[in-house]
Amino acid sequence: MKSDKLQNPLLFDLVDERADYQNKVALKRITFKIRQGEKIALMDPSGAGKTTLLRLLYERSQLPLNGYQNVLNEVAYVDQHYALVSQLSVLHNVYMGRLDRNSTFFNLRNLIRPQKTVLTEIELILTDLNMEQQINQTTGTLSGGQKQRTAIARAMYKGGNLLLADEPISSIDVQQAGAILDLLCQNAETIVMSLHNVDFAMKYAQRIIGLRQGEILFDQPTSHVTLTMLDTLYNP
Amino acid sequence: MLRTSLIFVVIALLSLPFADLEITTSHPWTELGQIALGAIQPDLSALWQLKTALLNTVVFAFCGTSIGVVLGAGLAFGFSWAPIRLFCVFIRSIHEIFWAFLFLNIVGLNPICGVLSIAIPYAGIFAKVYAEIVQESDKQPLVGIPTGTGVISRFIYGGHL
Repeated sequence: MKSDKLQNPLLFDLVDERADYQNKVALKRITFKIRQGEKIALMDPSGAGKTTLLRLLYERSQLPLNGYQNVLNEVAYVDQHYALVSQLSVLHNVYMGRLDRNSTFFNLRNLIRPQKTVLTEIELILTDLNMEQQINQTTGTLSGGQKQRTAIARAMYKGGNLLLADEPISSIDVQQAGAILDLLCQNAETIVMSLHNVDFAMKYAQRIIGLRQGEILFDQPTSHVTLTMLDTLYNP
Repeated sequence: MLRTSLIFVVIALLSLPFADLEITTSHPWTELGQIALGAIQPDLSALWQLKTALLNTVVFAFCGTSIGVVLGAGLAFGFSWAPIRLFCVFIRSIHEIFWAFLFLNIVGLNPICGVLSIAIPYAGIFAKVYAEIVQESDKQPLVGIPTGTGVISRFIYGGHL
């Protein structure tokens, strides 16, 4: 298992990284590698470290010469605050995930009158997320959980081989959250997501990175994560 | 303060005999009388002529403002660039009527003069208003827009450049 993982191409190789968030040091001495196919949960009970780390990974993946271009064709990002345009419908918000793939003319036409091909594809995704009823509703009128599912739908519509998700199920009730994490794991080959819920992290991730005060406390395969480790993370 | 004012009054009185003053209206009271009479007995048949004037006003305003909207929207895109911002300050700080006086000398008394003198200051006003709407709108959705997206697509969906 371990040797198999080592053969997968490297997506990120962070060495002693630091990053600031709102002029405060949010991350320091961050060193880890991410390989293709890994499902990683970030756990950070203390604060902004996980968001900063996910943003850092996203920015790195968008650099034109990041060295991983051959492996990393598309990266989808699920924002903690959903990052939706509240005046536009669910359909248009989801469509935004693929704005770069079509011409400006097509995008404009789709804004005025949604195109059939777009509609069928987005409807499928929304049905999976139990959101097909809200397809034409503006996102400003949705509940928190519905907004979050719209943000997830946009990431799924964008596709690609890496998904970065910041608290993707924070507003979704426990019954639905499992199904949504199942969907995400099927859709994206490599996932880095921050989670609050320990049970979900243990179930869906193969590797857990525990962050505390902007530093890595532990970085272990899920099977090696013990209750003592989690306890030091949550109750220092 | 009082002394300074008095000095000015004295200077004014001393200059009065040398001033080139001339009243050209021969019968000022007749003129005023006609105005007063008109207020009591308005000539209602003249109202009909006002129709064309009213229509002209609306048409000029409509054309001028429409052109202003289009030009202003264009200028709003470059509003973050200081020369464009200063240009907008310049054109909107001159009142329509003064633009009209300027254009009167260039194009003469015709519709182009009227429409341009409305369109130009309003272009400056709309540019500022549009640029501020864009500035104040939520920047967060930009996270959801893929990096390679064209400027126009990004603007129509995300509301930002």
